[in-house]
Amino acid sequence: MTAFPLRVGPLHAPGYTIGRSGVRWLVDDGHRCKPGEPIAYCNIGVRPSSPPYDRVPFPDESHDLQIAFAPRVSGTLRKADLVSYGGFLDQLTSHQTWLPELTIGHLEFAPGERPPPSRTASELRPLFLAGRRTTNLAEGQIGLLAGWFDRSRAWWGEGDRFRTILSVGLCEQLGIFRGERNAFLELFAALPGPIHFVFVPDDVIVPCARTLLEQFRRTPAELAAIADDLVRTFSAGSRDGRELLFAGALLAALSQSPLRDRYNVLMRAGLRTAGPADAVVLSLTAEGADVLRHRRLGYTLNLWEFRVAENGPGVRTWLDENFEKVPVSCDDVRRDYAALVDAVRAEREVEFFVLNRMSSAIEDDVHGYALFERPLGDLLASVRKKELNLMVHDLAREGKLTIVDLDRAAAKFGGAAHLPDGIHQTRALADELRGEVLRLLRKRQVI
Amino acid sequence: MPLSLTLPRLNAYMTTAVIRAVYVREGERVTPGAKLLDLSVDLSASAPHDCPAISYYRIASRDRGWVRSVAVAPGDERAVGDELLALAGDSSERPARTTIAGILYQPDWP
Repeated sequence: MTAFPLRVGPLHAPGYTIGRSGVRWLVDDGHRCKPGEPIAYCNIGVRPSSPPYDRVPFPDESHDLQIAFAPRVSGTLRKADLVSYGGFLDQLTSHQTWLPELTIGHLEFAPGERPPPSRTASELRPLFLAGRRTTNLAEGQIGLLAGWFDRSRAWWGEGDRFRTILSVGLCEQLGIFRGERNAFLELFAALPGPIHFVFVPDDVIVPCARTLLEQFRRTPAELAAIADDLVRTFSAGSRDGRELLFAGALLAALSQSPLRDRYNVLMRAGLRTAGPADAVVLSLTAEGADVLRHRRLGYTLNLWEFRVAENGPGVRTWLDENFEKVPVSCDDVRRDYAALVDAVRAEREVEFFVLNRMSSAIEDDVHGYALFERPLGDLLASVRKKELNLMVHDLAREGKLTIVDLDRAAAKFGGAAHLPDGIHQTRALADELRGEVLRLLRKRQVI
Repeated sequence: MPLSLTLPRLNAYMTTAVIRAVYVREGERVTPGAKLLDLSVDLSASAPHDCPAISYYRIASRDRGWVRSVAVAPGDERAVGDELLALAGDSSERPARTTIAGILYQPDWP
């Protein structure tokens, strides 16, 4: 039986030294590997090799930069000894120097299978992963992209040019993009070509079109006024630590615009830059029936009520005293979407995708709409969802966006079993929607 | 015929609901479409959930009749199967009927 080495291969970053942790395994010894399937990973550190030493290429992600390894050919894995140390040494980003010849294991081939003749075939494909911590207190190097990140991303480290796909996600996008292991692995298993996926969660701000547009347009002066207001409010009186953390995370979120983000990426051939996003995936679920508007400063907040409730009474008091509730009609959402798409496209070409709503009402037993006040879309959730779905259909016809038909997929699989609360899916439904997203990305020639 | 309206199981994961609004009083006449109650269901009440799905519902009358009794007030939390109110329908042949529908998310803030 032939043993085929699995080498990590070279990483070039002129002016920098690359270190790594011990190797951690994602599969067991004896696993039948598939081409492109990540089987192991380690943390890496990219440090300047000469002064000044503070010019790090991943300033917000230096603690959580990882590389996963995927064989190029199928075979049965035999792990090498002494590449994993266990414990903390498998977490330290620069415990070992990066050596291209490091062999983390071998593939064995079944009788009749032939190892590929090329030496480069034994070089593992590098999948890079990076997380930007919401706070540097949120250490969590216990796994692939483990930790509290306000942005996480991954990319294949080979090829010259790749596209960036941004998921501005609610929970319903988490399973589609980050998948079962929370590390984009299913997406990259399906996409061998160069590609860069970015996920921005809804931990603080729920990313509706209006808040995204405001983030996109926010000026430094407007941000300074918001910061001043937050600092004055939350530095006064006796404050709960949770409130201060919430206020800090909120200010950080308001300071960012996911649609303007640029990214550093490490490739086999060296450091590159990427972004802003070539495609953006939004969730119609983010478009609630109302938003909050700051009475004096005029900016919009869209928050989960449970987050406010969990983070101390001061947050709620601040909202009560400074914000007004603004109803958002279906027409308002349409205007917000159009304004967002137009504003971004005025600067660059971007494809927008929107997951629509599951419009089936699992719990309703409505026999006749005559029993309910009109307009029905202002009262009944199922009617509002149907109206929103029709609205995005109109926008799709105008070329503003492409619909990812969650409604159809939920009907096909059964909403009660696979989307029981309307947002959180089963793996099967997430797999289906991931396939649909990829199909649409190809159809729109993003990938 | 009277109807004892109990809290239905609206979701397999649901255990309780919170009464958000009560629109009728004991002895009040109701007609088809009369609002009876609004309630919210927080699925994290049954199992801890980082992202609790909170849904709101309205129960309305489908028949003419009378409110015989009201067993809940806004803010009350009730378990599945608990009585919410009792209705007496005008029909002597079948119990009074109600309907329930999901309504738009209604956070009680600011």
